[in-house]
Amino acid sequence: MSNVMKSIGLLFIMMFFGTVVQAHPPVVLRDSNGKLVKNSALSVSTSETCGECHDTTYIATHNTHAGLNQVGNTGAVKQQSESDCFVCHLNVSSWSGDSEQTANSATENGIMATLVKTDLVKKQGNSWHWNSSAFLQDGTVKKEMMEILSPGDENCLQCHKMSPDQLSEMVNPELSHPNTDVFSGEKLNRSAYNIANKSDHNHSWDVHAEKLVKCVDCHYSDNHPAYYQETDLTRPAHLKFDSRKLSFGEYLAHPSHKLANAPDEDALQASCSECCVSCHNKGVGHDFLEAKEQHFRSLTCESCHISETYLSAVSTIDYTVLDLTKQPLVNRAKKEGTEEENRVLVGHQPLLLLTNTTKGEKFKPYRMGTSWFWSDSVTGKRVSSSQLEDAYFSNGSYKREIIAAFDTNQNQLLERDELWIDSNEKKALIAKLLVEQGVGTPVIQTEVQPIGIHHGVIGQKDIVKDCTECHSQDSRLTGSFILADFAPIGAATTGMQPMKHIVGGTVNQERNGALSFSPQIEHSEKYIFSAVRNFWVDSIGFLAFLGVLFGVSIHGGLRMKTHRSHMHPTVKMEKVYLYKKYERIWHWVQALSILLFILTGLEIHFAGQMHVLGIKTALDLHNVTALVFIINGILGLFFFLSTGGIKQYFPPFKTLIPDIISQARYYGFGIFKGEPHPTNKTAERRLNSLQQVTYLGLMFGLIPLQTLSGILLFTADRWPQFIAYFGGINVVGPVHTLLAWLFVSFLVMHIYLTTTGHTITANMKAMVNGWEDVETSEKN
Amino acid sequence: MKNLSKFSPAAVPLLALGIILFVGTIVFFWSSPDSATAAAKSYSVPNRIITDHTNMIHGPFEDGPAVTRKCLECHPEAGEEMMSSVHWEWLGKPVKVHGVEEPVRIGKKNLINNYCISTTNNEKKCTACHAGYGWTEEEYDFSVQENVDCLVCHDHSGQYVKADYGYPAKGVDLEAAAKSVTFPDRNNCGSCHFNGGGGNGVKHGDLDSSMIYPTARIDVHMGKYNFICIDCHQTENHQIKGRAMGVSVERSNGIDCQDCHKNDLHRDERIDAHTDTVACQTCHIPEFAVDDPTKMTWDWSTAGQDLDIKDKHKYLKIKGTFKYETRVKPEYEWYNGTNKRYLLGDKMSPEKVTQLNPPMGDIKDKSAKITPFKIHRGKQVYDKKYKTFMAPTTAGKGGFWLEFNWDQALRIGAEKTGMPYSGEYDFARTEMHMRLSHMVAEKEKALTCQDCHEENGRMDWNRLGYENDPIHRGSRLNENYSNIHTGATNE
Repeated sequence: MSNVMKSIGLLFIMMFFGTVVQAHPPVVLRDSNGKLVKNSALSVSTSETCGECHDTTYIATHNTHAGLNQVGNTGAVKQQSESDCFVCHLNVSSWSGDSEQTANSATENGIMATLVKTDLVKKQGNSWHWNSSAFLQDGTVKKEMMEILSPGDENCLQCHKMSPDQLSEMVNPELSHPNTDVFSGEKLNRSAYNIANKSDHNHSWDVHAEKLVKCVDCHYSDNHPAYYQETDLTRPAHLKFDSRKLSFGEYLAHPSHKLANAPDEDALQASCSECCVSCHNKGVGHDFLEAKEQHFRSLTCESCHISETYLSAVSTIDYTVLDLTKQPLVNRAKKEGTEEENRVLVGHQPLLLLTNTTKGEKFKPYRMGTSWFWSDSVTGKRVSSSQLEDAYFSNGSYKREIIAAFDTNQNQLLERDELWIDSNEKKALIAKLLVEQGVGTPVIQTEVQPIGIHHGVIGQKDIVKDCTECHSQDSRLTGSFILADFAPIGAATTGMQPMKHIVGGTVNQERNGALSFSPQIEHSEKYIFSAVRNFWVDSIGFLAFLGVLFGVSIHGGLRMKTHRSHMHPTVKMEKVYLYKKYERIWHWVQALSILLFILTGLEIHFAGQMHVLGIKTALDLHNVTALVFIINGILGLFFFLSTGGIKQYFPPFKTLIPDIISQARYYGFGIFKGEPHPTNKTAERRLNSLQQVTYLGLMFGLIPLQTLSGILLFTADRWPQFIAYFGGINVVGPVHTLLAWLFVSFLVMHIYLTTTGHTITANMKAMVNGWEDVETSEKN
Repeated sequence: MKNLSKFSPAAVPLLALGIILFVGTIVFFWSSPDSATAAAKSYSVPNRIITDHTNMIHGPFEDGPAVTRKCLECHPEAGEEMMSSVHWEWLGKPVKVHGVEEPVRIGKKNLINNYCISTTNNEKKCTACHAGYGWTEEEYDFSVQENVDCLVCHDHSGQYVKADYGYPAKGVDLEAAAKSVTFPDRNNCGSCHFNGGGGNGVKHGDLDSSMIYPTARIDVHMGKYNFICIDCHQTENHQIKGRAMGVSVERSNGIDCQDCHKNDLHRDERIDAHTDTVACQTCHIPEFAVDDPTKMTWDWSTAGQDLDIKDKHKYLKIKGTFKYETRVKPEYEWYNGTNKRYLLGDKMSPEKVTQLNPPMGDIKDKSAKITPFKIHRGKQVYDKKYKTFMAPTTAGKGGFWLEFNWDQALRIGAEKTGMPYSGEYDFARTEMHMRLSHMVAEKEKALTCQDCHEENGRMDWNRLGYENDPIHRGSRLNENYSNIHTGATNE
């Protein structure tokens, strides 16, 4: 009895260790009739074999790869009635490498062909046999013959080739754009690729690959109990972790094959807006960033963390022409550079396009793939490749009229650079030939496809942190870019389809045939300072500044001209103590602040074109200046209120209009004739009515408004609801800029008017030492 | 009243200056400096004061000690300082050796290794690297200051070479050498340390003549930043900092990477989390013997035979069979800075591999770190009856290299070392650990995650005491850690 107990105990211990080494139990291979393949010699059926323990029906209906039950990457598709589990779950080192053969044979032999590189099957001529020595008596495959695993990277890469040594075309023939997302832990500077400035890139192709994050670590089964996490939508706020998980047994019976973070056809671009933060804490490592939250709200993680794709991707495919091998013309993106640079691979910065995501509009990295093809405008169908071949070729060579039309260098051969439809004649010719092939009304259609980039992620220490990449006139976010150096004639105007999820943009054909894309983000809620400038604000502001400058120049010139002929009439002068010490200090602190505001503000507004402090330092200084300015303003206000000095700014109401008129008359006429000032300065009333009105406007208009807009912009990062109340950054931002222009204009006027005292420098001196020679008149 | 309230115009720029300073200070402290830049400041190579001796010293000198007498005229303290240095005594200070009660003095003088085995009675060749003159088979007086060899370390004439018994080789211009003296550079140290074990690169694996003028590819400190040996092996009063596991068993006088570098400068939390468990060298010395090959195995048992192997890097009649390797991946073990040491007379088991200087520490030892080693594997002679390794006479009179007679070589050696010899001998396997600290690669070439944590990576997790790769089960420093083998690992 005790022996039995011991054996049972031993069995349990063995089972426990069995799970530790993750070995899949030995498999009995069965055919579609449920018979042992060893005896029946038929192909293996996964629903009969794997279905013994796993619910294959459930898997088939919960499967990201459903409908892709094809073997190999050549496009030789056999739609099988059941999933081929072995493609992903067989230790791939045993069979990978001859996918074409596998694919071809799969048409006859089904899933059996997937096992081609194991010793389980043998191929003799065209027939396939099971290797009976690989099986035990009961039909179980010997353990060492077949290793079943959770998918390794190699399994995924059979089709999604993303490591540099395996780089090739993606399996999806519709996409047809070879993927340049590289998922490899190899460091770039140690790669065999001749990448430009290789030694500068002391980082891996993808930081996750470097840190041994496997494909399935992110693309896990969506009901895997270790990973499954209830979304915020339904999870109660008080709950961090719901421990009521699926049991492992239940999971193994019904493992969902819907993979997390996988592109979903419907939400291709939107699916992964927040998937990084399900593992990462974005609060760490971003402290260098000014307006951190603002950046998080506007950018996906990938926007910064996928800073470059180093291999050149296919950028265009021109299906409107065929080369001698009857293939469309494929172009890879080429960065303009010197000849020296062209000998090495030059990376591309992904395009950052504003995209609708589940968390609002955000910028995301993309590569653009553009293609052109003929279609029948009547039926809306794409012209088939055989129709196109027959249009171009007869008996395996180009038709005579094709050569006549395309052969620009008259050598009777069509070279690559001659093969494009750049004139209406050529277009009409091909259209005519296509009509002969039975196409109703052939037209050229353009398809611009944004392809999201998600791999090739770089860790924070290796990212170049340059604000001006986005915050400058040449911003990556707003600039237009070339989709294709050449496009068939009229490509931009015919049959453009809207781009999924992209917020806005237009495709234009340039005069030289190039096709370009201009993102339109002005209409969005994004206001990227120094990149997005409101044309009207800048124009009006600059005109105001120019107007004032022009006005004071004319006025000053006239004064200089008339000064000699019209001497001041002798008036009685008197020294008056106009400005108290505090008032003077207050004034100069304010003056310095405004000067700093303008200088740093200019650098912020024109970042990239103007570089004095660097945009980040300028922004810091701007904010610190604001602090000084506001404190000084409050102290000043307190001073003027408590001492009654505030009365200085209120003109006598009754005589306001005549006073202003006489003052304006003085500036307009009297000053040139050397007339005395209409208002005499006294310690009690040192401002004339015009000044008083202006300063009141400043004090209760311009300054509070500008301060408010500044504070709103400053707090927009942490408390966006405040600025949202005033219409958001894209309203307050331009207002702040416009008011800044008015400040500049005021400053010019203000400085000029200080010269209109008794002497040119009299007012200036007064603000320095407090004393001024003022005119007295009999009236006083 | 008027004067009091008068505000001097000069105050305006002063006020402006004050505000600028105020604002500037805030902005300055706003952004903290890059920590990596701050750490780099400690790397400065010192400006050495060089005294030109050309016009101070005039020959001719009849022999080495005559030069030393001249040196001592101006540097009388130097002689005294040298008397207590390991470069002179070939013995360290008394230390506690594992398995020995009392502290003992150990060093090149009385230890055996698994290269040329022993210096005793082989002074003719061995003391060519002694920092002195005339240490022969006879009793040597270690108190004679004029026998100190100043030139081997301080010569810059480039023609000073030592020969048998440490005397200057024939044809050396002693006067020229004496006039050229200055601080020791890589040539001086390398003349012995690059050739330890009897030839270029034989012994250490991370020290060979490629480091006299190395490129950054070979050693980043010397090649990229132009360090010389004494920049790290800093020396005061002729006491040179540094230690080697072959002759030193404890931590004193060691040099740490952290003497200059911060532990947490990787700008990567995950890598920084390794530094409590992994020695810097582990990642930063991905391979040793970068250019010149180093001797990995040495089998004395085939010595004396007339094998038909012409390649002197594979076989020598006097020494036996070797294997050299280049660009070798280190082996990794726990090391807490101390090691055991086989002393002459210790019992050994012929069927086992005897560790001459095994590192101490294991996965449970919090002060131990995974450290890279060159493990030199030897097969050397032992006494079959007494079960002890022997120190044969090789280069000395009647030695093996002259007469190829093991029995006679062992008998003479035993007399000299005072060991019993039964007359029966055989060969047994030994291993020596050479800790790697040189040939530090550029940071671009440091190991990355995959090197250790991918399948078939560099680490043998079970041997190190882990149940499996700690990437899945957490580090040994975790509180609820259950990933440690219970069995003993590091013998």
